[in-house]
Amino acid sequence: MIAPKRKPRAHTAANEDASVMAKIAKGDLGALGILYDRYAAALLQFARRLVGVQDATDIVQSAFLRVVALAHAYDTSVPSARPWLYGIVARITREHRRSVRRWGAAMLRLASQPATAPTTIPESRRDLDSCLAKLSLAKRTVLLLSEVEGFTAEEIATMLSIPVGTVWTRLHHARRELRQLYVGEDS
Amino acid sequence: MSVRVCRRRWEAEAARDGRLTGAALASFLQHASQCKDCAREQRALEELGTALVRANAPTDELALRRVREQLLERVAVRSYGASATPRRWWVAAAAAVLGLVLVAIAGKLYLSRGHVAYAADITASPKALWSRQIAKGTEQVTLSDGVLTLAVHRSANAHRVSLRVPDGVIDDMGTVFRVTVRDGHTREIVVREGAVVFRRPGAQPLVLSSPSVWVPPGEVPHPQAESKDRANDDVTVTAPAPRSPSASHSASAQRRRASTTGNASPADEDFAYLRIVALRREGRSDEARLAAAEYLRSFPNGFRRTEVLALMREPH
Repeated sequence: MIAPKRKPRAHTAANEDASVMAKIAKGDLGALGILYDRYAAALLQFARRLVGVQDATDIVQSAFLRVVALAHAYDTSVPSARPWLYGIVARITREHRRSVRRWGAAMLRLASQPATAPTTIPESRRDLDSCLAKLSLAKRTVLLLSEVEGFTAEEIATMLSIPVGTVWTRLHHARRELRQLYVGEDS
Repeated sequence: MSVRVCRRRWEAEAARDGRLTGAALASFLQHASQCKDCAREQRALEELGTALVRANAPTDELALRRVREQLLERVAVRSYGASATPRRWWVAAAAAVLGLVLVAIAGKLYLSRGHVAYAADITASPKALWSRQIAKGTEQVTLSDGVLTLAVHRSANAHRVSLRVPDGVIDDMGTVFRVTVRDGHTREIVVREGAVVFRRPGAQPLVLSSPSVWVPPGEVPHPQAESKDRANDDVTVTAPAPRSPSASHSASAQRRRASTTGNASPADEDFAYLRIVALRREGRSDEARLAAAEYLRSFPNGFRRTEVLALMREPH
């Protein structure tokens, strides 16, 4: 029997995001706090697995600053801001990686310790995260958005501004590489 | 025993990603129920997905809280007159830091000559987001989030103190009061001594005299709710109805008559002065002059006499 893919995480107040975004566009600091409280935890986990613990908080803060700048352009007919927010985080991580200075620092960190491995993380999770960190950012992004966050390929394509076919291709290669690293399978 | 690789195994991933639908999906499901290789592939994909979900680390609440404070502070600074272009907040932040350093140096020099640099002593809750600078004779305090308790020195040479909150401005002179800002809104103003005027866009200015507590409509005063963030705060809560300065003449006269000694109290003098300030800011110059004349009659030796005289001499 086929195992159903994990569904997107339920969000109880997604239909209120449009009104919150409209308030943020008008400079409502309280509304920004509401949006932050609603999504920041999940976005931080997503960013952590993309760029590591040390840079994840910077990524999330940059994302919400960009939310403030782009709030006026948000399509209020879309009730949930979740895909939009994840798309912003994904774009910022791409920009983050292009910075030569941060790339150099990341190389140094890789040389000294695992990128996402504080000692308190259980062995199994550290192994998987270490293997995940070895994938390219592009593959890692689509894999996490699909398998962990539950977005469809069409949603991911829109978020990342890439064709749906590219999403499927990256997913396939990401799974194959991760299975080779983590499980030792050779497909 | 080796498992033969099924030529349809790729469909397991396609089905998981939603690429197989309708008849093609049904066909694969039928096939997978009898094919060990395809069934194994389905399990492997499911296990990998489950492992990825379970590998999410617990939420770092401390990091979330820190990022939230920094974010709101940066946005608040940008909202209060800093440049709209994203990169200039660095310039504004650097200028603010430099300004504070210069003020601190000037304050040290001032203190060494026995003068008080700041008019207000400020106690902040540990997580409060606030700043202070002196510009054009006004001590400008900005509170973005948290609790501040201010004790303003009653000195003729002291700066006028103005507290900017996300939803307005609180003007003060010679007053002890506490302000709570949370989620971008003023949640409570407690006036322990003197009086303040709370000005908000689109609303009548509110004059709050001691002892009084103001909260927005729909909220209940909680003067002790944040006791862990303040030290030794023993304010008592009574809440006379706030009133606007332009309609408060009879109220102020009643307060003076109610004084047990028959002499005007410092709070009365503060109120009279703040009324002048409020009228001027509303553009009601003639009424402000009348209020200034009344101040001078009522408080011939008032500590703001010099300033009020100057206001009266200003041209129309």
